[in-house]
Amino acid sequence: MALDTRERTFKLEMQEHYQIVYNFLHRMCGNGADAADLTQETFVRAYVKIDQYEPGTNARAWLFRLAKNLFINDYRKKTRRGETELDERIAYNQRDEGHSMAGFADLRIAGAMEQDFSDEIVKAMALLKDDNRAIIIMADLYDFSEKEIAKAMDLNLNTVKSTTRRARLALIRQLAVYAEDTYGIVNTRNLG
Amino acid sequence: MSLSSRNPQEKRTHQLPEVADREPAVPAGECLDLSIDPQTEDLVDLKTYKVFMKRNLKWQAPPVDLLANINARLEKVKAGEE
Repeated sequence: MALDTRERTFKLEMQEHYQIVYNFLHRMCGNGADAADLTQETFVRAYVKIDQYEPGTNARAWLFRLAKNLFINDYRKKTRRGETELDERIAYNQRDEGHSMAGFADLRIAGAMEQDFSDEIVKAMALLKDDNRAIIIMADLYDFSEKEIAKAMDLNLNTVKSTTRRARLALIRQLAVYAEDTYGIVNTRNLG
Repeated sequence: MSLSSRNPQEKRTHQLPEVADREPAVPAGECLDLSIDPQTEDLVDLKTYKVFMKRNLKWQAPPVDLLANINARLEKVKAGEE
């Protein structure tokens, strides 16, 4: 790609997304300082690799892919997590796989939309595998379609669909426990 | 006053404070439906779930100098310093 084309593509299609990339990375790593560093790295990488981007396509999805790979391949290796935390996460994910969805077929939490679940959601998301968390953030916070996620993450569409379902269920399970303890859960039938 | 005419009043005065003082069984307000459709295994109300997620995971304002720092890094890359 010629230099002026590279500059133009970067300025016109990439740069405007720096805030959303920062937010994505903030949700991935859980703190602002690392998210800012990773955002810088993402944009440096985008500039260097811009030949691999097809101008006029989905710059935001392409940047998310770079950011996610940077987070998993570089950041995760540098910030090795404690064994206990890893064990907890593995146990949590294994627990997900062993449960059916039957318990959540009929679940409403009255008044939940006015309550603050933010800490619980952050905790629940931290327990998801990195790839799964990335998919949930893209799908549920930034409204990427499953097709866009599949393309951006280089995954099969069915894999994205099943991963999204499984990750949402894991979140709901965690939130349901919190909601039951804190606000009470109301069965649909009782609400009429 | 006969017993038959007093009993209904006693019942009412006994019941009213109970109802008035009772805490609602669940908080009032908008309901979050996290039900799963057993057929599709998807959330029944995906839209409300997403609103709930977005309300709780609010937008994080980036550092004010983030864009300037990105551009400074890029200048170094262009200059071959990185």
